[in-house]
Amino acid sequence: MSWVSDYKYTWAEQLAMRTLRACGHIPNHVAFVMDGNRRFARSQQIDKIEGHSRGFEKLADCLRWCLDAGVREVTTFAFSIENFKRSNEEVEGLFNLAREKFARLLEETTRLNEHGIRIRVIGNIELLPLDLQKLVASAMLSTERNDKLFLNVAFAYTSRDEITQAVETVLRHGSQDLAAEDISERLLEECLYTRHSPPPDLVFRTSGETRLSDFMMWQLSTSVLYFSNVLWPQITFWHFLASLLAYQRDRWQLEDFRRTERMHSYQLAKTSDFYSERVQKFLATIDEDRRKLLVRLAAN
Amino acid sequence: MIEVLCLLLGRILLLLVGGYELIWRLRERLNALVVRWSYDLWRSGMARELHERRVLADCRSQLTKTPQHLVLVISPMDTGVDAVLVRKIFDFALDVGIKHVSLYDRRSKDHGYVDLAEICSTTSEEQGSCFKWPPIPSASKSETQPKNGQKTNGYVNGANGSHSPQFQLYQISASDGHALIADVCRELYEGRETPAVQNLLKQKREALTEQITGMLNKRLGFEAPEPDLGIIFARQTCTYGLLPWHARFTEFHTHPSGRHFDVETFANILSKYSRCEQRWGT
Repeated sequence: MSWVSDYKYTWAEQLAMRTLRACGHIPNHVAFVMDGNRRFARSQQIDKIEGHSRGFEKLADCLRWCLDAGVREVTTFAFSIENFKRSNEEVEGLFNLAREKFARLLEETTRLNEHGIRIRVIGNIELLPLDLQKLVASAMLSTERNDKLFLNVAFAYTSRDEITQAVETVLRHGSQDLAAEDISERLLEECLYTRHSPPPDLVFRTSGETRLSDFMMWQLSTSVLYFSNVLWPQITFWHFLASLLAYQRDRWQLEDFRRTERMHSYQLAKTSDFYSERVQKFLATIDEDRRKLLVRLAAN
Repeated sequence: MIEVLCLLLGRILLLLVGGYELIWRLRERLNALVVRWSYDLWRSGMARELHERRVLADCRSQLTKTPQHLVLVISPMDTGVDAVLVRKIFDFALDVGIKHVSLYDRRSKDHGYVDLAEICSTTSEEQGSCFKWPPIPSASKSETQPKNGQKTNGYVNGANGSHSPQFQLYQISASDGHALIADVCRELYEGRETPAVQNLLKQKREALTEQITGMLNKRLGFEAPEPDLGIIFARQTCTYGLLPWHARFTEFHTHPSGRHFDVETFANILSKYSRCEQRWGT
């Protein structure tokens, strides 16, 4: 199964997709909390890992829909740090699935490059087994020049860990370059794993849960949250469409709030010298260090 | 040709959505007017109170779990929430035994911002963003305040399993979100050469996470558990920047602006909360 499926649209779906695109206001960035794989497996009396595998197939469909709808960035919550608490068998099964999918991704790099898809894994990848770290790093490096669709896979991720990582980065790397007054929420935002991504416009969680489970808590303060009762492996094009319609309905009501937040962020950047040479130098160092880490992991 | 058709369909769809929104709003307004009117007209204050107590007692008996910490999120565009409704919700929460309630109102003072200091009619002795509900009468304040001067978190009254006759109330502001985390980072950065911070950096990341949690709680002035239930008063579901560090496992329920909120609404939200299962990653 490829990372982007060859989904065959029915004529009704094709018409709906074109109509939606003609209406405009397609979200730039959609984040998915892919919940319900295990409940789906239980309901179908299949193995948990098979449930996760079906979930991945749906992700491939979803990526196709996003690509065709004009969504530029997709973030998916694949594996939380909290999931390490699951049974060894299930965790190992999930890692095997990830190994298989990332190995497949490396095989089909040409196809991803054709679509211009860049894969980024966000999370504490050093918590993963070494061979998986290598695959993840290689996948990120091999697609790093693409810029048509960004796929961020949150793996070994929690929001708290991400924010702690940002604080840690400032404490470890800021010594020479930064002044205490330079530290603001604007700077911390740039130290998150999602440094080069806009905040999600729409967060879509399946399986009827109405919590965020420590996913992108910093970034989603202005996002439209959409909760659906469908289990992730059962998601269809029409559920996806419903979420886009909900976004189109709700976005204009959030626009004033978003504008105010953007203005606040801009003012903050000015007052905290965000655009100063020393801060930009510090941020460039972070980018350089992160890339060096990927190169090192890929070479292991 | 097909493009023109799609464009036309798109415009019709937008018009339908706009029309639906308008009808929905009118319906909600009418509903709120009728429900509120009939509610007030047909029930005396005493009868209303009895009805509310009965509904809450039924609700309490059916709940398998009660939230420890309820947070009310009021969107910047909301016009339906005022001090009267907030007080009413506090009374409902008190009745079902919730021990901590927070209010996160994103409106400005000119647009209906509810100030807990006014609702709780505090004296200068009660400072910051922590209050108690029902407010402590000034005369008995010295008797009820903890001897060590610490703010209590409301658990003492509920220690025997019964609900507390008074709970802890907090006002959360926009600056308690991202800005507070940046503030903590700044303080750590200023002390980066100290052995304490250097030691944190040598340990696993969890140690720094714990440190940040402690520093944030100190700044927020409360030691409440993380919010487990959030009611968002808005047409659309959004966190509006609510405590990114603390609201990670909060179950959100959106109550559309303009819709009447009464004891049945509150009981329904608690029932839904009671039915949901937190798996904590497992």
